[in-house]
Amino acid sequence: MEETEHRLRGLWDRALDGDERAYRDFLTELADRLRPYVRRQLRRLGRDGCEAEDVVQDTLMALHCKRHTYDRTVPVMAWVLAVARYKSIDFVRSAAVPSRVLPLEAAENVAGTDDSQVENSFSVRAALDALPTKIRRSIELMKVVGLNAKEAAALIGISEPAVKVNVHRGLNTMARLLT
Amino acid sequence: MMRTDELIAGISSAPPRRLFGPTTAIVASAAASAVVVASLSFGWLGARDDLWTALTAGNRILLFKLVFTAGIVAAALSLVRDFSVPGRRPGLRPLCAVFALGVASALLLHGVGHATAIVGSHHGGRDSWIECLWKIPVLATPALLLLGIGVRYLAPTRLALAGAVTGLAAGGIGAVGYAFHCHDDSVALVLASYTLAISETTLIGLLAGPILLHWTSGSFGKSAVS
Repeated sequence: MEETEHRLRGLWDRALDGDERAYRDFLTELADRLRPYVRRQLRRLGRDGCEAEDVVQDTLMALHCKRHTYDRTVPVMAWVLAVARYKSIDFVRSAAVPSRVLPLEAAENVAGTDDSQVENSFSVRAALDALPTKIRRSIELMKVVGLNAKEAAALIGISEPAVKVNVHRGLNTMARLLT
Repeated sequence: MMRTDELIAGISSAPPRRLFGPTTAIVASAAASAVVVASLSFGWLGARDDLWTALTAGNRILLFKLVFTAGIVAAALSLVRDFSVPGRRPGLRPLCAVFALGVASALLLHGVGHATAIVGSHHGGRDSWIECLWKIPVLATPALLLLGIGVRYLAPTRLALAGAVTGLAAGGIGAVGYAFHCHDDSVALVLASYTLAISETTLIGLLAGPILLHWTSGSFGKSAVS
């Protein structure tokens, strides 16, 4: 545990100094370590662990946006896990996020009809992949990850109105592709 | 859905940008609160007529009021900082501040007559006690909002507790502002009425914390990456 803390602390210190590679390694290792923790947190809060990836992504985003709150007197994993716990609770409390876990009967109904939903999901993915990168990323960040326009704009490196226009145009294009 | 490695690639390639750290954010919001509360106190309530004389003559009860309220602010701000940083546990500094407050109060009140301490020299009766109970929370309201902005800029993870200590600090700042106006020089008034008024803002902070301090990755996140 101490070894992990030491290694992550080293990566994080370098990341804070602007080392992009160290930042990527730090986040990648963190994502691996967060998954089981978030899964346990979600189960403890009465949700299914399969939603962990959403919370892991949200936690990584939060750590990035709130990295100025890191206090060098606090172990880096204590800082990370406190944010992960907050994000897990936030995820569960958010009424807008319905559980993906369906009762067995509902799953049977879905499975019993036809394969159209599965096919549709492939079609949507294909339509999304067909879009130019910045338009695709605008839609993914706003409509899938759930970021707002400002956050998405900051991540992609374009203006906020441009993100909104991208989403609007991209969805129209996808609608045309899917009909 | 977007893959986690894509998100990591996007985040890690975002150019770094310097943001205010916890201490700076809390000190800045506390300083802004102090300016606003002082303006409100002098502009709305007005300073007590003998403020300058009382300060220069070393009015011990007035000094006690200021030390008592400022001590609460110092201890509470230390807690506010602790509760605004994920994973940080409150240290011993708040306890040290309370201890220093106790010693300073004892020294200030040593030798003050029993009657003066309890009843006060310019007592305004029940009215001044009741005034405290609503004027201090009113003065503390802008401080609560400004400190709330500072705390939300950081990342509190225990929102009710963070709200409570923010309310405590705001109440203390409001009480300092009120002390410059308050004519009633009585220790009992400070200990009972001021404490009760500060408790009111603490309770407001406790209840409002989960709403006021709730943050998402986008709360001030726009400045996190460019």
